[in-house]
Amino acid sequence: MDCGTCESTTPVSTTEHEPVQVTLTITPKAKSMLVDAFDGADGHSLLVGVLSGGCSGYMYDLQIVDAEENDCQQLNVDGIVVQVPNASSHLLNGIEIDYIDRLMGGGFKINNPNAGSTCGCGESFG
Amino acid sequence: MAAVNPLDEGITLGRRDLDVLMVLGTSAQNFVDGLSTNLVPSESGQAIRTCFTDRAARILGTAYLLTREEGVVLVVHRMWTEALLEHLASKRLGQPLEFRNLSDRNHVCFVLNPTTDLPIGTWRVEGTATVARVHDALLLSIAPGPMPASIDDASAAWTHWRVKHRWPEDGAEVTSDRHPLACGLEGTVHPNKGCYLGQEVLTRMRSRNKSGWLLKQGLVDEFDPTTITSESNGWALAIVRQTIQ
Repeated sequence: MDCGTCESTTPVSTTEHEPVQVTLTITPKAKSMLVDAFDGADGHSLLVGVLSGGCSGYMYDLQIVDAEENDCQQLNVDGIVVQVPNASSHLLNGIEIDYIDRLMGGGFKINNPNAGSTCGCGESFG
Repeated sequence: MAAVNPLDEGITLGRRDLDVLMVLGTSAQNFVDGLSTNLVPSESGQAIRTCFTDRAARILGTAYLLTREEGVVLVVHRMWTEALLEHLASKRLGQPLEFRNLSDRNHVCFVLNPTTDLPIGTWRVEGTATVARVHDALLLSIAPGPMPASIDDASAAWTHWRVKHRWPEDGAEVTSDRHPLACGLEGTVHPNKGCYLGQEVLTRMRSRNKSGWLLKQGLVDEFDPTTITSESNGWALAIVRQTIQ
């Protein structure tokens, strides 16, 4: 098989979404939980990304990071620094980050106006 | 070209309707696994058949999938190629992945009823060809260069083999208005895998034993003619309504 990796084979050109300038909101409960999670450390921020997969095609990816990530937008939302990758910005514009306080199914929850459908567990959307 | 007897061992048939795609990148296996109905092995040297489905479990494409160190090879019927690449690309989201179409650099053949010691579900290099055993009696071969003129196209012998082995074919049994369990692709839906597009629907169908439609193999006379999708020598494949016991 000629795998085309030994020389320069032209990759298939695919349509990429243009980055959009993201605006998002964080509820007071979610903000309080994030402040706790940051534990007063300087330079920490919340990375809100999207991965492929999940029952609805996309999955949210929330991480606390201590450095500026590549190709990300930096937002300051009520004192919380949030990073959003440009590649998934079209899927995250307008989201609300909430925190649900209950024993089962609790935790951070994202309300996304771009989601046509959402998985039962809330982690996946499409 | 010589006439092909479908009962012969080691018949090689050309598949000019199959494209060779490659997803390159260190996360290629994970990426494809997250979107496919079958479990994509993480180690190199494996070969499986899998499906890509939408949220309603309708088929977006099927592929013979080979895992390599540098990524994943997808051998895909041309009827799916464009839409499947679009589907995969829409889910890339900045991941360091590349999609390549290697169809112009390779040709694909099937070898029916091979005599081989290659374990089922694996591939290896034989000469210049990459050979994968995707069924007890079927090898897939990807070799560089154009299809040699001496190789017959898949036609009557392939249909005969498919009907005998209840092997669904893209465009005949496998179409975009069906789900994998309705067209004989049960083996491509992994029983324990979770969280891929269409999984909720397929899991519900399986747990309730209600797929709506099934691919059946039998004599032509046993079927309503409108349900027959392939036939050869008096035998047929047909997609029939599932009877709930």
